[in-house]
Amino acid sequence: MTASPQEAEPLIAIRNLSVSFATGAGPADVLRNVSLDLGRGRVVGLVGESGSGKSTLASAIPRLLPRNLSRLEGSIAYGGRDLLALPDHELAALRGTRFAMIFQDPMAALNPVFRIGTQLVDLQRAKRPKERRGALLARAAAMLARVGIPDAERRLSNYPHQFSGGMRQRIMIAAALLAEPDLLIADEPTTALDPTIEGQIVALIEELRQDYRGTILLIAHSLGLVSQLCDDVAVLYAGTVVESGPAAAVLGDPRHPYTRALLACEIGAGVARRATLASIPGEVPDATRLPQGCVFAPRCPQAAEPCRAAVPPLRALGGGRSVACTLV
Amino acid sequence: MNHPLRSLALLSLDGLSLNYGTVPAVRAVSFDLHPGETLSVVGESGSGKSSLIRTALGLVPPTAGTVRFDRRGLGDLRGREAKAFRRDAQMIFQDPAAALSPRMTVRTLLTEPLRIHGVAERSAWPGVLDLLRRVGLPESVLEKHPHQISGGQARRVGIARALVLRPRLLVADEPTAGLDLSVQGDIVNLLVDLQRDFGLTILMVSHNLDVVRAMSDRVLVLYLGRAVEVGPAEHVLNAPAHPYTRALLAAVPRFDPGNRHRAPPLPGEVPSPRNPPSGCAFHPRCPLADARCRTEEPAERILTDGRRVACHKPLLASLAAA
Amino acid sequence: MIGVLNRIWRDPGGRAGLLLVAAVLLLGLAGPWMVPHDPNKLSILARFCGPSAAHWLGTDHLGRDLLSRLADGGRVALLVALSTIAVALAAGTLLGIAAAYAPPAAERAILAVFDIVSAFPSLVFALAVVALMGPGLDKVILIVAVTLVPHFGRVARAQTLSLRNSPFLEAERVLGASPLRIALHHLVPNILGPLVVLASMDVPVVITIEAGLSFLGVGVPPPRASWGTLLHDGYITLSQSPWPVIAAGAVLTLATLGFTLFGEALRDALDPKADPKADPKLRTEP
Ligand SMILES: Nc1ncnc2c1ncn2[C@@H]1O[C@H](COP(=O)(O)OP(=O)(O)OP(=O)(O)O)[C@@H](O)[C@H]1O
Ligand SMILES: Nc1ncnc2c1ncn2[C@@H]1O[C@H](COP(=O)(O)OP(=O)(O)O)[C@@H](O)[C@H]1O
Ligand code: SF4
Ligand code: SF4
Ligand SMILES: [Mg+2]
Ligand SMILES: [Mg+2]
Repeated sequence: MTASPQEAEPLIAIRNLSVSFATGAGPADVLRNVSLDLGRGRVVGLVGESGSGKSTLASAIPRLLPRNLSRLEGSIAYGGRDLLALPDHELAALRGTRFAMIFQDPMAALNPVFRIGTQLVDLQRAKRPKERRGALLARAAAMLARVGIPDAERRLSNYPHQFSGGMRQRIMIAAALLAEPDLLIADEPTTALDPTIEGQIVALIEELRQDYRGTILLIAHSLGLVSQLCDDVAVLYAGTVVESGPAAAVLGDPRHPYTRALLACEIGAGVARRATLASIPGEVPDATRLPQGCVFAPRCPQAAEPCRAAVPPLRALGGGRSVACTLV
Repeated sequence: MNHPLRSLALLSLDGLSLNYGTVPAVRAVSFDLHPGETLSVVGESGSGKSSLIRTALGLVPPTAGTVRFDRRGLGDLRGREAKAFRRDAQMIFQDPAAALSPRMTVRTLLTEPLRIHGVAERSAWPGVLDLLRRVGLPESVLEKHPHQISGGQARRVGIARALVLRPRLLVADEPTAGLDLSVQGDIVNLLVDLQRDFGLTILMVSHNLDVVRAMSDRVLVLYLGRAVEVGPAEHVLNAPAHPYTRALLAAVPRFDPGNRHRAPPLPGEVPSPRNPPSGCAFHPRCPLADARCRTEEPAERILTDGRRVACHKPLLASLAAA
Repeated sequence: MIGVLNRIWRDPGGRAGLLLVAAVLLLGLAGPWMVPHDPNKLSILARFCGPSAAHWLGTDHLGRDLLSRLADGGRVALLVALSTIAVALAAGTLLGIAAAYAPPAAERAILAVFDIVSAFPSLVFALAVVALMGPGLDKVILIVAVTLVPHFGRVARAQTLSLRNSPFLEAERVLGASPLRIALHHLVPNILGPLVVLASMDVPVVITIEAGLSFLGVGVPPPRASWGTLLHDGYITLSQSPWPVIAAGAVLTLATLGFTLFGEALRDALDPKADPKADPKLRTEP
């Protein structure tokens, strides 16, 4: 185990990040007062129902936000600088060199008209402008072999469509690692894949951690995936972090009612046939019409008067844990 | 064929095969589904799950073999009988939003089955509203179009629509795919309740082995179009006999906070059905494969607990019947 | 219907198109009763007048009032255009859907017929028909409609092919809907968008074809006006006065522009997913 994020200074410190988008139904407050540390060399999992703002949070770090952005407040500290205050060209220089992203749909991220080799060489150019093409190709081949593409050298001349979905996701991982980024953002990297291929990718990420020293921000639907891969975890609900901390603590002893409800939904191997399964009644509120006070109150079994009065702040509990709930 | 239980089956497939051109997608699959039972088909993407259930529903004619519904061959149904089958067998689709006609409102979508089968709308409407409540939808969705509702709501509309005609057989292709964990349990509970209340027989396809475990009586494991293991759910899922079933189960990342150890993943990917491997189709990925597996296709054998396995070296050889 | 018009009106291009189309329709349908002169009244003394208080758009080579003739010609043009396109749209859509669902041999046959029909110059085809059946407006409509069928048929076939395997059509089959019901209730509404756009953009094309046919004497018989004959007569006497060409050309251009803008706005308005009121929360992930 590496040092806990509290001891060493985190790679990235997000403070009071708020993001809104302009929509036909008024401003959508997609992230509100989000504070989160991404510790050096740690795998941080981001979980929450769809629409809770996971992807928006991930893309706010390299500031790749959609055009209808109407509010961007707070700060994202990285290497002593605030990413939100950085001029565009400086940020552009960080993308692809310091930050790399892997998406749910690897096909969308690969250019269909260029050979894999060419794309992998171009990716390295930013960091190694002077190196010979041959040397970069060799690095690319070695990285492809590293992520488990058989016959890597020959496959450099293939086009993206000539690979299966699982192989494309491996290529995306190779591409991200070739840039040797400080932060690797993986947005549901296995959602589009089969369980068996998902297992392979998980094993790959696990294995790569032995020689990749950077930080990984992993967005995932599956709690199994998060429990297996992550050191830290943050639970997002309707644009707010409701609970965060070391994964073993948060998942093993959840404190926020939402985290508890979510964990209870996981169908364990011991479930009896036709037993009634847990679910969370109600729906995630619309980002344009958020409830007063605690966002989870309309669905929370423990909601009481004070919950609806004010938004409970994210409070530190010690041991690197934080929870936003009036009861805790 | 002469098994006494056979005649009681609601749906029975016998040596069902489906080729797309020359590419085999389903190869000689047989099973019986009894009234009130739930059978789940599992397997990796491209293993032929959707093809199998589409053939079972008579949406594509089989290349070989027969499908019998209520003891009548689907191929022999004509006119009235064919229409009655379309009323008795309904389906929930893999992509719920795409399976709703985009220009119709939910109201029209829910009453259309009635119009198709000449059921008086007025007398059936209270039943439709009741179903709407059962699947947990507010009446306000009635005037919405499919693109205006969420994935979970579209799935519920799909379920309600499949039940409007009170079918006997419900075929569900990935009923929880793409849903949040928080709704997944809801949908499973709903299907189980509806099954009990309407006496439904369910044929289901799912990637999610936890959902399969929670819902099924029996499980059929498909690999490259072949049923490699069929048997009672608790046996197949707790003590798999086929190496592929075991690998499939091991692949699911288990939620187990504090314990990050995991089994090694199944190597490789499903081969193309265009040119399947010789012998046992699973041999290139099977840790137990030997020379015989590479040349000789394993015949199906029946274990003492009643399950069928197509493997030369089933993991539970002790159960293998003489 | 009202909703669709409303949505067209909210789009600036659509609003311009709607106004232009309404103006053209008004000129063509109500114009003959509103204009000040008999469109066929000769006045040799007032040949080639420019616009004046008496003749707003001037007069032609026989001294006939251009505005009145444009209005009268508009009626013919619109009648021909709208009925032609209605016939071609219906026939083309049916044949296109049939082709998409037909067995390969039948599909090839339908496509071959499309190719032959569109390879035939419509004027030659028209002359053949007139030689057989004599001239007349109804024949013009028939001829032009037949030559437009492949146009709609190909688009209908392509659209049908792209939707043929959609889950929602399969869902209807599972429910037991008849092929006819599936085609009319589920397929047609979803392929109609591009076809309607095509149709509205074809209106000016048909008007021009009709003009050509009329000029050759196989369409609208003189002395009745049509926009084509006006344009053509004006072109011949261009050296004496530019007004007939300017007036007829302007009307034709505005009509083309109007129907094109209208068509584009109609396409957007018919797309249920383009409804700006749609819930933004439910937008699909990029
Ligand atoms: N219409 C078709 N024409 C040709 N091949 C097809 C067609 N539909 C499916 N196939 C092929 O048949 C095989 C089985 O496909 P099928 O859709 O049944 O798989 P599946 O198990 O349902 O997969 P998934 O889990 O991705 O839904 C695949 O190899 C697929 O590529
Ligand atoms: N460009 C945008 N315009 C308006 N709303 C958006 C936009 N992008 C995302 N949203 C909304 O913001 C919320 C969070 O979205 P997202 O970050 O994609 O969530 P997640 O990744 O957790 O599913 C959702 O309600 C989504 O609909
Ligand atoms: S603050 Fe209140 S409503 Fe919110 S999670 Fe805690 S107990 Fe529930
Ligand atoms: S037959 Fe051989 S290769 Fe196939 S599953 Fe059994 S042991 Fe593995
Ligand atoms: Mg997302
Ligand atoms: Mg499928």
